[in-house]
Amino acid sequence: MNEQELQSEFLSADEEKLRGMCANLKRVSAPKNFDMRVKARIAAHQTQPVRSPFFGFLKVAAPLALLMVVLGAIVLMNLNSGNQFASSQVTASYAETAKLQANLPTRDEIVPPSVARNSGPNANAEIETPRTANVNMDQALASRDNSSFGRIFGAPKTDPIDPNNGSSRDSASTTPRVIKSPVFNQFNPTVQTPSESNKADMTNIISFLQFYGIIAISSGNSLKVQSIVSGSQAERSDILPNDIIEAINDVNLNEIKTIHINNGTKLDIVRERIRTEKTLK
Amino acid sequence: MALDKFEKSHAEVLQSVVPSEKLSDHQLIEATKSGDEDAFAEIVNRYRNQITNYLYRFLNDYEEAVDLSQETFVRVYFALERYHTEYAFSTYIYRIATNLAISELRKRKRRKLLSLTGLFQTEEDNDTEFQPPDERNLPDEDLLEDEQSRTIARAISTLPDKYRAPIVLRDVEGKSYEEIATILELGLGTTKSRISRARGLLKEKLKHYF
Repeated sequence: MNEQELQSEFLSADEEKLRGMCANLKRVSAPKNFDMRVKARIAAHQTQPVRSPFFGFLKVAAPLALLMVVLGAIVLMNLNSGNQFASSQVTASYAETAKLQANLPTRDEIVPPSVARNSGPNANAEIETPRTANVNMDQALASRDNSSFGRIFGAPKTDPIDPNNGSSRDSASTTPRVIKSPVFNQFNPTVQTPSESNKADMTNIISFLQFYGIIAISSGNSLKVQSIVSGSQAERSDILPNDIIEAINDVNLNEIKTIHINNGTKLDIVRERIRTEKTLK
Repeated sequence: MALDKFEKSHAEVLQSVVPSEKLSDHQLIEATKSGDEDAFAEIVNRYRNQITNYLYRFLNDYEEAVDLSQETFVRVYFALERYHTEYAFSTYIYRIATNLAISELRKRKRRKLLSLTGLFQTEEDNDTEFQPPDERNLPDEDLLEDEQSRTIARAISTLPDKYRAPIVLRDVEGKSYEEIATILELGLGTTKSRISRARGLLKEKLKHYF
């Protein structure tokens, strides 16, 4: 410290004493190997790989990218499972349901002319399935609604839809309800849904018939073919509108637990009140 | 070969003629920049005790002071290209050491906050109570101090950061006000004010000596 500066600095006696005490503190010195340790540190720094500024960006971007990939995978899985079966929940009022049902096409609108031309009393047919599917129906019951077609479109459980009679739609209520819309998965036909019953839901059977191109609606313990998709296997197999499907593979519809979709599926069909057994090959 | 002689830098010429002990700090830095390791060794030799002592009084922990002192020289070595001669080299190296010490104190505070005892300490307690003294045996016999010196050292180490550096630089290291202001990047008035305030706080802590 500059002596002149020290003398010019005005300090009280206590401050002067304090400064003296601080100045008289014993000075410590660096250890003897100080130089070597400094050199070693410098050498260690020099041998470290040079990190580019991009590395800092990567430290942030890599986890973010990984997170996005994981989230994307989760979203895709959810979408896929939604397509598989009954994952979407829709809240709809009965009024909206009635509106939807009123806009449904009639049977004649749906049935292609080619099907009508092929209609006849004897409807033995073969259906060529593109793949074999094994569906566990024990767990494939999402609801107990007998009117699966109506349920798909949000109809009340106690209000089965008769395409020839729309009077039941008058009971529409504004109370919202949560419904599940089963969607047939063409990529993974093995579908499991939680169910307390061992019996298959008509909804699921309808869904699997759609796989063949059969649009059917529930009619008591059987299914009534409402329309046939043009160009489908059902059309090629001569399945016709108004056919009543009572059994699949010799098992009544209300007793079906498992359906094996493959070539050779038998459908028990009643056509014009004549019961025939049809083998789908 | 003849051309090479003319291409030698001024620092290299000086180095070859004048022993490094007699070179100025700036000349040693220039020599270090041109690859002379001995010149940097001379810089280390010239400042190691000053910096170690300064950091020891700042942190009141010898091992930590030695560690940070070495780190200071490492930082200086790798930042030599950015060093400008507008400041004295001593100012430059003290600034680096101060910044490292302040950074270390902040780390200590964070560690303290994480400890259970730290959770129940108030800010007022931190200001008035001494930190526990470093009870470890110092490696050098010369470091053994009498009770008064240790009390003063502990009192300094309990000063708030912004008062600790100025008073250590002023009353322990004997730096001028201007130099302290440059090291701490403060105005001259602020520096004087802080030193005065630090003395007042220190006097309060050591009142039984007055």
